[in-house]
Amino acid sequence: MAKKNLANFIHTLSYDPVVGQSERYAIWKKNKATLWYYPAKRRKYKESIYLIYSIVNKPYILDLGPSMSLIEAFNTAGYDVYLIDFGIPAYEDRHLTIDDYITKYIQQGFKRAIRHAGTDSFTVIGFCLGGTLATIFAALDNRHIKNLILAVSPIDFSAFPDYNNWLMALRENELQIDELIDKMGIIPPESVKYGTRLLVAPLSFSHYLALLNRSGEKNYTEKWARMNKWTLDHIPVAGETFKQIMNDFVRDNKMVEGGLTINGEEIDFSNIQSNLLVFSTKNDPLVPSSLCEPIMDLVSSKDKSFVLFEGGHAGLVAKSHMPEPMESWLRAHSTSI
Amino acid sequence: MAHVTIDFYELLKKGGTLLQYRLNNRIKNSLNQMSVIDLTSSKANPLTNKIDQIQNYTEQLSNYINLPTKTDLANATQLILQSEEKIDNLDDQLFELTNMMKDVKQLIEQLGSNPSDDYSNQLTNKITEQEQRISTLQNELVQTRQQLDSQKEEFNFTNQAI
Repeated sequence: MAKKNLANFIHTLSYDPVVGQSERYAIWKKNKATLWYYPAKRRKYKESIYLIYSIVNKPYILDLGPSMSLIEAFNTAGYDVYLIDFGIPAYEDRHLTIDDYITKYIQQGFKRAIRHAGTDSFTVIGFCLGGTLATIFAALDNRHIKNLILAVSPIDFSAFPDYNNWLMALRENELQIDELIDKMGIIPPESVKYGTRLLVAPLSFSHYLALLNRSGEKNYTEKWARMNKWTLDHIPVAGETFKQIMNDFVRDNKMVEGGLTINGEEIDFSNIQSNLLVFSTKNDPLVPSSLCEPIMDLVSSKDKSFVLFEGGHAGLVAKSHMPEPMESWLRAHSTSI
Repeated sequence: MAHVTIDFYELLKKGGTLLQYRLNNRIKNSLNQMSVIDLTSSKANPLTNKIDQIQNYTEQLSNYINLPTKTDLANATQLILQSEEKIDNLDDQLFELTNMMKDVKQLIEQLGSNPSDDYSNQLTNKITEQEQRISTLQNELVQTRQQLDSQKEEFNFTNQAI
């Protein structure tokens, strides 16, 4: 038995699973970005879902595989889904800014989704940094966003307990990285990977021990292989975008302190009147709940809820069903057809 | 007397997770020192200069051996992206025009079944708006054409340079 488990363990380590298997169609492309359409098995709701994922990882975490896909769960429940996939930026995209992501990709993609769906009432869901972008987008143009869901999305960057001295150095301009970023052009995926690892767990081996412990369980090893693939699969970040994240979000905390502009227009989060569901997880060293919750005080939404789940940063999305109370919240805030 | 089964792998996982947590805390504490920040800060400028030098050498060398650099390719790609964006805008405008046509068609039908000044005025306004849109679209098409021509020239220039 132990031998078989060890063989399973070794097999899982070398296994490269196929991800993103849900039925989908590309309905719009621009530069490296694609707007994907995932049709519902049987459409039951008027409001389609528009997903905005982070710009540092690949979005297939939302569709890891059969029975471990949030997109599949949405489709099964009767929602049409659109996903704006930003693609993998290259050197020619080094000048791409957050402003561009919002206005040229998220906003334009949303227009195309409206055009395709034949409805102008949507539920927008943002994940991680994609949720931060979704919040800015919703503040910029709230007309067609009936519901806004933010999942583990950082908003308030005022504190980083593990690296408070670094944050202080950045705020006091003792740490200047702009010129270095300009010379690099784009931040290579390895730097993104190791940078994220430094923030969360510089040394990481416990997941191998977890696999060793449960290598006899087929479902567990399947999911482990897919999650592990995604964890190691970072994408480059455009230099200008990285500078904006570091300067506007982290150093100046403009999301909360104010002064954030997109194409010269000041962003006012009180413009957000959509029904709002914000969720965060208890064991998330990358985006702890203290970074997510402050959005609740910035918006004008009358119907707003904050939910704290058990689990880690990406665990909620790799299941066969939507996490509760998201499922019931979404049902209650959607119109049956 | 009851048997107590010790699951070795479970124990290993729990112990390993605890060890990982402690080691990471120690590493994070060590990294969060002013001395490390000062060292990083002092090395950022020399590193920037080194990257700059290497990039300059590469540019110069590529001239001699007639190889395009990453910047050349990025510039060429940028031209394609600009055109793509323009076409995207034109597509948007065509879509709006198509929608307006639908409105006009509806107004004509309403006017046919119920002739009134109100519908007639609405129709005139719609048609005027549509004419303006078409004129804007034509201007944009001319601009796009000019942009493509200048991009072509720029691309030829880049090709000659590399």
